[in-house]
Amino acid sequence: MSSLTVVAVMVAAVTGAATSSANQLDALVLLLLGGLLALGLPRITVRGRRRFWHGWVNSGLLPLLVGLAIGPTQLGWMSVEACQALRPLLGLALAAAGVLVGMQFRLAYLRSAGAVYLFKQSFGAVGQFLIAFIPLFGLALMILDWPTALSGAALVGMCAIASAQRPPLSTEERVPLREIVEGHVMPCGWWNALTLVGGSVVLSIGFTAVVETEQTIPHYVQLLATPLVLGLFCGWLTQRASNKDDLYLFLLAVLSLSGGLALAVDAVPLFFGLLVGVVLVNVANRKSKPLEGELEELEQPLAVGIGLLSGLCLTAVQITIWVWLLVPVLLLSRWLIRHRLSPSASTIGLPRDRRFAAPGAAGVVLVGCAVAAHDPVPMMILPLIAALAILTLVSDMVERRPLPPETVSDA
Amino acid sequence: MKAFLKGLGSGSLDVIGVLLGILALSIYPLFPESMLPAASQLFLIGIVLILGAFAGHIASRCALPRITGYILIGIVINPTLPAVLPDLNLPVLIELERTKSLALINDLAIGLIALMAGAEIRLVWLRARLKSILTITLVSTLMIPALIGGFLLIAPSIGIGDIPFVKEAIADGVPGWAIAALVGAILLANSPTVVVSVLKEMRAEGPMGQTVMGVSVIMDAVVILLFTVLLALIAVMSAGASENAPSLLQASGAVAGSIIFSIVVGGFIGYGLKHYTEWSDHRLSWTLVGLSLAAASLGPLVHIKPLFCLLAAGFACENISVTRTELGSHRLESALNRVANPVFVVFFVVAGMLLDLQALANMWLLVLIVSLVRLVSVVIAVWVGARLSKADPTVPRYGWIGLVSQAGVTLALVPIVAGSFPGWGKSLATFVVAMVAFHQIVGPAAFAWAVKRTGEAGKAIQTH
Repeated sequence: MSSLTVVAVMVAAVTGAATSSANQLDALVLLLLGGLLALGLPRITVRGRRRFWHGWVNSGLLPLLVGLAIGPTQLGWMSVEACQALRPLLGLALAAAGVLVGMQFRLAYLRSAGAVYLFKQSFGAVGQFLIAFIPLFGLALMILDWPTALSGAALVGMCAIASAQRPPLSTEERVPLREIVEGHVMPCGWWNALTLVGGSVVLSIGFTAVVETEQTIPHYVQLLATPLVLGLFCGWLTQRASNKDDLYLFLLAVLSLSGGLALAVDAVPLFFGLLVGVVLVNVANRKSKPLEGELEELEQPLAVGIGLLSGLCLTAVQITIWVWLLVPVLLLSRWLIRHRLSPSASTIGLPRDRRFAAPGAAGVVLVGCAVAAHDPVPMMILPLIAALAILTLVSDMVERRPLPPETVSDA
Repeated sequence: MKAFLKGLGSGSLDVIGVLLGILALSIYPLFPESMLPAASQLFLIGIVLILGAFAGHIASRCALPRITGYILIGIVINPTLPAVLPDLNLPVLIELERTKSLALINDLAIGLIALMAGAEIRLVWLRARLKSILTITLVSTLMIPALIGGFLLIAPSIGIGDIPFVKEAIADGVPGWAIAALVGAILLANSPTVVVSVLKEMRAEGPMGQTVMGVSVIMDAVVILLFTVLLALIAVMSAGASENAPSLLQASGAVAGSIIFSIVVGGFIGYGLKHYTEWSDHRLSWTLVGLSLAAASLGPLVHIKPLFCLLAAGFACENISVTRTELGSHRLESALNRVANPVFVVFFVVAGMLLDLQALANMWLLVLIVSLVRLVSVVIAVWVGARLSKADPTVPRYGWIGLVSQAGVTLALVPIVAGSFPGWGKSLATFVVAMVAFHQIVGPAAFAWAVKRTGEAGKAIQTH
């Protein structure tokens, strides 16, 4: 059984819930979306598609916009009840994405990448983060209390780091594959991992500080201990699995538990999934390899699914006009410095490609995490989506411009 | 018994897994009511999967089918169990209301199992066994309701006492024979779900399994039709029926039309599926899950019965075209097998969780007696049908065991009876649920034993 099936079953279980509780139009819309998703998925791997216009490329942005458009906040084609019934699926998808990212933190991989390489890349990412964070924090302090301002600015700063892993079109057939992987795919992957780790930590810890709740076990202990125990449990389960079917059954169980428990303790499922993935991959090292391979196959469907579900599950909130300021700050902080602080090597693409690089799926996943977060995060989601859409659209337009003559002659 | 005890002893880690799962479940009531439903639903699915997986392991070590393990662990965490065993002071691990959210996976499971069953049926062996299948179905349809109904009517005069719902129905003005026939029709139903899942798990192939599968599937259609006709008949004759009870002709016409329409639509779907699987297996699991969901959610809106639609789809996919290749069949079977495991686990654990043990405990003696009568009726009907049709010798000897289990259709009929006849209908519904609980516990294990005895286990070509 593949992990794709695992997710398919969960889609079925939860969409079943949605359709059963929904009216006829909801059922038809869900069916339409499910059909589109199922039939469109084989096209995901088509290369060279524009990120903005093509729904099946990795970014998941178009599904996000579609979900937003037909969801209860905009056109209202789907009822609030039907969309709320889809929330478990979003939780599960985020947990799966978290495990997928967490599994990249295999100690052996990190050692082979080398401390210098990781430090250099992390330094660049932190630089990019600070450039977005500092002005936003300053602006936010004028209208919000400092913990909320700090968390809000940090979340946007994390979005600034996100980098699409698909190489620019100008590299196609011009740069050797190995160079693309080492100079673009790997560093972008590291930046995205930092984005997701940082973003999920901010959403799990930052905004919950605002919510005053009396708890017998401190919140941070719950946040750390629960996924660690789950990770160890998952490791034990994978050791116990006698065949592939059992292995994925256990994975599905742990993903469900991660999603459920994360939501229960006011954390984002991505954060729990990340920790589970890290523990699993380093505890049950050998047995986790098949899981890793299968989960990687899920990368694109997960991005598409998270995008769509995020748009559908969004709740309508009143947005303060000042919050829209984060759009220009985010855009400018990326465009002003990206050509110097880009994760891509100088041999990858043209300077304009690096400057206007798209945020990719990581940004959409962060938006998905923000959907279930506490106030004032929901207020920031629409501006964030707007910023991601503009960044992606501009990136597409820049990439599609004709190559400079000297570049063509070089090729 | 020896294998059972040996299996239980060697599976100590699985027992630890089950205990860990139950321990995790014990924190479930601590989840605040105000918590997001998404959180509690996901948590519950996770626990159900873990418990089911370990219980399945233990069952298979004890030489029982895995689904018996799934059902039994569902019974262990059943919310009605503490009420049945008050002396043990067992805690209620899951409230009944919360378990109902998981019942929604039934639609998906039934759809996938129908697809599986349809795809398993091949014209080659169907031609050879059609006579047996149809004869056994016909004899069962005539004999089982008559024997059970007759018993219910004569029960007071042979010293068993009044059957509560029969007495109430007669008091409501329903003729005795009609209510007896209705109960007989409901108890005629069996469970293709259990038959297909046991045969799949044991990788069985042979005359007994194929005949039982054919009979159980056709019997479902017969039961639905018979039930609808009888219900409408009673509604016409009874003064106690609710206003929305349909007329006899209308109801039977609608059901027959709906079944035929479902089969026709299923044929077209199967034709498309055949081309898809011949061309590619890319995301085939997604497509099958989507198809099952589409049939489950859209079907009722356009009067399609998902079970028959997907059964016809599976059958048409494998048999409608002479150009069907082995590669295409292999792709479909692999994709169905991939989806089956988690669906079966959740489906059967939830089935165990939702059994009304309280009802079973309240009327266990009546259930036991009627089950015995049903069993004898099934044995006689299968024996007579198999002899008349000159079926393989394994069919009269073991085939009846496969028709013991009850689930799906029977449970679907319960709310209809209860809703149509608020008085005695509810009493009958409780009895039927108790019967299902009993048959669900003993049926799968007995059928697995029969499959082993016939030597059909492990004969299917392993494609997975």
